[in-house]
Amino acid sequence: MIDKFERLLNLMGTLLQTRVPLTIDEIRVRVSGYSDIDNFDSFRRAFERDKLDLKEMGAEVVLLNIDFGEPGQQGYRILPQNHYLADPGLDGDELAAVQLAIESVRLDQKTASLGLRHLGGREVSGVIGAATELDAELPNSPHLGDATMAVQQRRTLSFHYGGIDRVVEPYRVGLNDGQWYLGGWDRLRDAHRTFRMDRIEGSMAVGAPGEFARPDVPDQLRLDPWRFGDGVAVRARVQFDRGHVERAMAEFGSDTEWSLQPNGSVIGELDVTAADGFRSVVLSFGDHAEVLEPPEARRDIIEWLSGAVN
Amino acid sequence: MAGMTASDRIRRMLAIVPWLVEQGGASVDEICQRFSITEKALLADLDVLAYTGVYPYTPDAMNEVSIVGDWVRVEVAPHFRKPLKLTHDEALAVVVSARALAEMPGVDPDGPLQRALVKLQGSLGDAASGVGIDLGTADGSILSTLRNAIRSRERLVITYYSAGSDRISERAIDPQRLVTRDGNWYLVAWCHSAADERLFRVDRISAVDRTDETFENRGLLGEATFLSDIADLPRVTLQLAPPARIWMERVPVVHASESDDGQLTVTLAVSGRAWLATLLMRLGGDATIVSVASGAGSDLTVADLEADRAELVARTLSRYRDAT
Repeated sequence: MIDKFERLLNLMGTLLQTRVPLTIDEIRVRVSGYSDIDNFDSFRRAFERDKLDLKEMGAEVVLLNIDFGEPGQQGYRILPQNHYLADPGLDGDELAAVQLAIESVRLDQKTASLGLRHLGGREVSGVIGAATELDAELPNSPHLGDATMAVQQRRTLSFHYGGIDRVVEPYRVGLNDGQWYLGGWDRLRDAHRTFRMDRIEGSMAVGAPGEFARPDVPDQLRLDPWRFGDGVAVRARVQFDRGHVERAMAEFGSDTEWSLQPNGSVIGELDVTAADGFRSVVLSFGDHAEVLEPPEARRDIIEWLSGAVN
Repeated sequence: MAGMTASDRIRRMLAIVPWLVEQGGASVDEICQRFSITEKALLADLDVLAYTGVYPYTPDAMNEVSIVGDWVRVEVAPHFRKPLKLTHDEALAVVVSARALAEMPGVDPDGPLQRALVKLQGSLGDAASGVGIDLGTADGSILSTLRNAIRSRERLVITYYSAGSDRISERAIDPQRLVTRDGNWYLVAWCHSAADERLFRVDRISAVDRTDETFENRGLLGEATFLSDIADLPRVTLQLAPPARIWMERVPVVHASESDDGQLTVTLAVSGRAWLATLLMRLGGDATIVSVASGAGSDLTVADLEADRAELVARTLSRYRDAT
């Protein structure tokens, strides 16, 4: 019995080398490894499994009409353009830079490293950044591949999230605050939604390509806690004490208008659509921050704090 | 070779073979090192390769492998000589890694990484289009000052806010490494005030002063600090009402369990009393302190933590009441 590794190599070679699609009977005769399976049904099952294996490794077997065959006759091939790398022609220093990126950014080093070797690179050892002064540990998500492909090919995604079944037209995948998020149009709720990918429950079903038109949406996913939710935007002003200014600017980002005060403190002015998120972030500054306006946000904080000690 | 499927082996073989053809041969050692494969696995795969070919499997239609001494050469059909296309996941992992590094401060916008990204975009297609990467909030100029100091081994004086003690202090440090995790940037450094390795959150550094003094690299990686930071800390268990859940996302939770009515019980490693008081104030009436398991040399009680919270809440409230 020929080993599966050997049979797959033969099958792949045969389907790549041929210029004319091969019929199922031709494949059975030509691929060493099939010819010694006596029973046609057993051969057929083995061939179907092998096709899946080849697809998984990136060599998709396609079924095509045979141009000069009998009418309606079909055969199998692996199309070279689907199979071979379009060589990016990386120079030595460019390849080294990509290699360093894979070593520094620990997203899915194993998969990245497997990709790198086809680009002519050396496999990455996986030793924690001994050689790098920068180290980014990016979370990996089992849904990342499907989600990005769905965004690019406009496929819907169906999954269970927050106890509800969702059908989503995805338009963006983003890493924020150390988490992967998926942004899309939730068909059942008829609204834009952002999902944390690690909260997707169970598996994700991917629809057919081109199922929806890409909406005209801003490039960034809106993830700031004070902008979660669908509330009416209220203009708020917050004062941060001296010594906490850098942290405030890092937290409240660039959409906020800042004015430095003579005493070294800073006042930030921003739009708030989610009162609870706003309160929570302001209170993370302890007693080094104070909401100045609007009055209802001040009252909200007073009520919240009074409730905290009871 | 545990867990290696036939298709994993083929993809590996299809990476090794085109490279071997291009090199005109290589030693067993070099191949093993380059492709992270053991000698035994390599020889087994090469052995099978020599039995493969295409119809009619006459000698000229077979792949050829010769191993003389430890020198490997292959003669293969043309369709094995070109490198394989990357899978979507491989292309995604490569491009996202490269884009993430390119996002980091101090990366030359005309350098080799940027040039590689342009070329990869053309070759790998749109594997990573529609993907946004934000590595964390921190001041870009502070990050690049730190990065330059790491490279030139320059000692720095930083003004740092410690959330654990709610204090701002100046410290002389030898910066070693920048690490981003969970949306935060950290600086791994030798701290002269503490005479020990320390981890600083970059967004809590409010000023950096250069000293023009240099230091010897200590090779600190920060890994030990990340772990020991958590290991020795007192553990505090809180009970949380459902609304509190979403504010806990970036809090390091050691253990969590959920009851049927949606109440969450979480155990935290507490790096400082002031930090915990601030967290409790954010959580408001949605959080109750259940118990404390103190670390070595400390005898914190629930009453201490309640008192911290009450004091911070009173201080914060006074800002609002005095002015209103």
